[in-house]
Amino acid sequence: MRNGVKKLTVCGLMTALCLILGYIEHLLPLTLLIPLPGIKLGLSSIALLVLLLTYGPAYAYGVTALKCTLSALLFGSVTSLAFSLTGGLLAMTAMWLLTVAFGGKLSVFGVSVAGAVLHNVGQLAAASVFMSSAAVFSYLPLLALAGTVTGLATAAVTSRVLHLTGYDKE
Amino acid sequence: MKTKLSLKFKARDAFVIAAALLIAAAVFLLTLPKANDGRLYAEISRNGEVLASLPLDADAEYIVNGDYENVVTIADGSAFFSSATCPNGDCVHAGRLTKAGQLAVCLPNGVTLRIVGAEAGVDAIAG
Repeated sequence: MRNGVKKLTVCGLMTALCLILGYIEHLLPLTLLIPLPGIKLGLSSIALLVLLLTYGPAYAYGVTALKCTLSALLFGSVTSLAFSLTGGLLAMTAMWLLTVAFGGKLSVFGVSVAGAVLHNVGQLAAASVFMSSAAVFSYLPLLALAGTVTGLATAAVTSRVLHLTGYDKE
Repeated sequence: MKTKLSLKFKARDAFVIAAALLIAAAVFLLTLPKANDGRLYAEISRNGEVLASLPLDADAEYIVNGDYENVVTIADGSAFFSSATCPNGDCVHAGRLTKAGQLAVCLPNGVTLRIVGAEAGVDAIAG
């Protein structure tokens, strides 16, 4: 029971953390430096990957869906909800499946890069459905490059956070 | 089923990065615009429907209405979103488009601005 309360509290905190990280990115968008729609640091993926690896997929999917819904209510619109849900859920699925299938062979770096790139793929897929045109996929090469870089950067932070929680000790 | 991920970079992570870069390269080659020395046109579409196709060598202005309003300007052989009422203005930040295949989009309004070669279809057959 106490464990359940702890998990609930941590999930609430993680959701709040995701929203704050998303808000910081909203205030200082990477699109000002690199004018490419959909490009972003993906800071909230740090919290989501930590949650996936410590509490498992059920909690991680729950917080992903909450984060997408709440941030669309706070800063976005119905369209941005569709984009972030497709991107977020596809990224989480990629990270989860890679962890289950290749957990012993990969590190957080590979998993994080896959999540970042699949997040972009999901958003472009949603955008192409929304605009009934596959033309937006011509953004994928640059977005995938950017996703590789930001995926590695957020993995470095994730790795440090997990080390501090003692994830690599037990 | 509790598998633990390494916190240090492993050699196999390079495969994931290689796969990402390979996909990027493949999509880049697939979407590479065809060489074209003919007239270029700015094709403006909203939600998949082409609204206008304007030659880049004639200065013009086109206003797209919808949930928001985007102004497309054609000047000096380039086409660009000169202003927009959408929240982020990413389409305006996309800058000037001058080459075939270049694209700027306004997601909130579902608008795409694409540069196309006049005879792209003929080139595709000839090439």
